[in-house]
Amino acid sequence: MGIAELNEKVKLYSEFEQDAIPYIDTLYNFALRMCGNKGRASDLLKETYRKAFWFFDHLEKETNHKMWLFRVMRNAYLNSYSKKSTELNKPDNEEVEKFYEKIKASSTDSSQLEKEIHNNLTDKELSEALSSLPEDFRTVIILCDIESFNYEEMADFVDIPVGVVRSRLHKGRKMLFTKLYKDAEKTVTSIKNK
Amino acid sequence: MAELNTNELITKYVDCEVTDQSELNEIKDLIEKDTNIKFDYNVQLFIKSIITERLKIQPTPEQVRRKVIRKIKPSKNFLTAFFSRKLS
Repeated sequence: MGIAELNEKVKLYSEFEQDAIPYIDTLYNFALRMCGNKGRASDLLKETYRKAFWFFDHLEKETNHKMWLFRVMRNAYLNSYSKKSTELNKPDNEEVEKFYEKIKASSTDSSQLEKEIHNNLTDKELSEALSSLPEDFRTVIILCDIESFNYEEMADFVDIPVGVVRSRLHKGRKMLFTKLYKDAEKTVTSIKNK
Repeated sequence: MAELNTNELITKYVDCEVTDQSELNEIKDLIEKDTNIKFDYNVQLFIKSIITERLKIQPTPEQVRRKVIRKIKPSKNFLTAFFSRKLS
């Protein structure tokens, strides 16, 4: 590598540092929620920044760096990490729907259910429950409820129509509620049986 | 409003994506009058709030941040490669 090439790399890195490094926390958190544990999230983050730096000098000036970095991360996740995740534990849609309707029919007031879940649930359990959702649903929930993306941004990022974003958010939250409710029910039963 | 089903409308409302005032009033009215819709609304709102409250953005651990930067920052590695090539 010659001096000129080295200088070029240093200049490129300085631009990258300014445009891409500020999003490191946001990306780390996205990785953490997608992967479900810190080790894999760190690997995914390193992989994302390595790939992003590799392609950085091919970007157009008006590129939205945040959105672009999220895309790089999601693609890296889909290519290597999702295969290793617990995709086998996908909840059965029909089963979720049936259980949800059962809860709905048996409760006149959802605030009591919410209180039970709220009081018994640890942050770790919530994080695990979120990680157990299928990738399509998990992604939109993370982007909307943690990263504060709006519908247009999510649609653009995941490359789906806004209506699909809405529908995935609705179903995803329902799935998560059903899972948390089932877990809370188990905890209450085990306490009662002691 | 008829284009969207009620479920999607509730989600849109929970996420503050409804901008039209008449649509907003219509949704509020639905939630107030229909217990099934109210239940769905409460579930959507509850899950959104619990995630937002409990799973806050946390800073990247310093060690991870350093590793990321070390992986991409042109530093000694480039200089070492450059000088070792010159020497050989």
